[in-house]
Amino acid sequence: MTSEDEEFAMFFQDQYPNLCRFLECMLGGRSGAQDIAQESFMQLYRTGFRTLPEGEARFWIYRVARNFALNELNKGQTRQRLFDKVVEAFRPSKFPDPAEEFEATERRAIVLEMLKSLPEDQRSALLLREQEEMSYREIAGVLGVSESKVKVDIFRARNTLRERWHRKQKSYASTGA
Amino acid sequence: MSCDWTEKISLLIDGELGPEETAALQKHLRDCADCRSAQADFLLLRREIGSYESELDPIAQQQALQNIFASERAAQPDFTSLKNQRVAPSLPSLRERLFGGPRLSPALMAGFALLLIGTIVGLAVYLNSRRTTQSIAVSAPSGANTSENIATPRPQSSVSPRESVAVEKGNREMRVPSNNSVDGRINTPVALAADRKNERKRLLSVGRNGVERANDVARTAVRQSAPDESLAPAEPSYVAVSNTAPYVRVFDPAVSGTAQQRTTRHVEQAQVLLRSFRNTRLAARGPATDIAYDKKRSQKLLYQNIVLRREASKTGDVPVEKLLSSLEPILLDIANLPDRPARDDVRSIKERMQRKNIVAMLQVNSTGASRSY
Repeated sequence: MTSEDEEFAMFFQDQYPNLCRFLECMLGGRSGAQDIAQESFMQLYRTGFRTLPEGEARFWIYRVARNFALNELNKGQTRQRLFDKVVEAFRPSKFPDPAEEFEATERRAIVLEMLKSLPEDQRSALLLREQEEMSYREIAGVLGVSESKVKVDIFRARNTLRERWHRKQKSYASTGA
Repeated sequence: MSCDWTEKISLLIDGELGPEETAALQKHLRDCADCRSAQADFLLLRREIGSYESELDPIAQQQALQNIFASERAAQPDFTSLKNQRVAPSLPSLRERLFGGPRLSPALMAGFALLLIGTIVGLAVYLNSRRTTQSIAVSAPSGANTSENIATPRPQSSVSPRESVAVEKGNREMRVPSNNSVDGRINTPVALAADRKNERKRLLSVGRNGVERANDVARTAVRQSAPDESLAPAEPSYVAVSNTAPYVRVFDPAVSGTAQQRTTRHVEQAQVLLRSFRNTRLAARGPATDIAYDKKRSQKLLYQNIVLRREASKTGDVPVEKLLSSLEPILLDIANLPDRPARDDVRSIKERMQRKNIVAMLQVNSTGASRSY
């Protein structure tokens, strides 16, 4: 393996889980997220990992992945494929306690459901801020928009989710669930 | 529920406020319950969203990395020169190459090929020189034939001084009865020149197709000398993809690895291609999407698929044969698309891929096969 390949492999091991997480939240589920993540890294590898300025690869990969995710969303193919369902059914659980696993699954589902309700640009901005801890300037670079738009989108996303969260809490409280 | 300062709370928790604004907001928070509630809610959302974890399989992650490296290696065929040699993962030693194993080495086969080409060229030169000798030595039975045998001289510009002297000499001295010619033709100087020209063309065509012919010849020589079916030429075959495309190195089953390993690699590469094709964005308007890269890869994989499918059929590996048979029409369709295809064409292939669930089938096959190593 060449030294560039080694560097790429290290970058891949570091960023791949985070990118998958971002894509799952963008797409509202696991279906297609890993495919897109792999394709994004492949684009980076083809482009030439070392041709990008220092530290730029991370933003580049998120930019590309997000574009792929938008394509996927535009196609409307967000249903989980049969094969993914089968694999998921047989995936070994990392929670020894079924109750813990259920809670984790429930919370994941709630987060995905809430994020799905946001417009795509607000969703992208919020995820990059909360999960990748990018600055507003970095987020603006990835999304190709102005910093002031990022600022507004993140605030609106938070406000929307906050209101939904409160509505949900109220409905749970009233039904006794 | 909302206050005018709520938006600044969002900037505060992101560290995007300056020191003076931060101080002012901190002061406001002491008095405003709504803003304190908003701050708590924003931080809760951050905790929930930030703690979301993808359930990633480490094996799948490694597989994804291997797929990336493999697809790039596979997607770089050798277009530059027919002289380029195949790159084997591990080259045998010189001794093994010359004398080792049940297969004849590349060196011996190249020797056979050169020997045969040399024989053909030597034979051609010999025949040519015989014809020249015969045509000069023989005389015509009667003077009346001389004028018939005299070829019309070519236009002055195309005839060199030496040739024009020879023609004149021929006119005066040469008598060639038709029954003495080698192939039944009248052997005049111009006819001889035409013979030489044709011979030159024939030899050039041998040279131009030398690689393909040499392989065929070598294969024939190998087959003749060793009837064992397991022997196969180690040199890769070159097949023209189209009139405009350069020669593409076809995957040679005898090159490297077991059949299972080769099939697994092929399936992984096909998987990557089909995923890439599946993710192709179709423009609603304007110029069609360029899929030249996918098309090239598909062409290469198609030839590999044909070879591996035949191998599987020969060895009686029915599941692999069925899988590759399902894959082949899709590769063919992608390979036959124009570089900028119509939306409907791409869509119909994608729909077929989805109906066959081909990507999932490939993934199951490649995961299962790689785990068995």
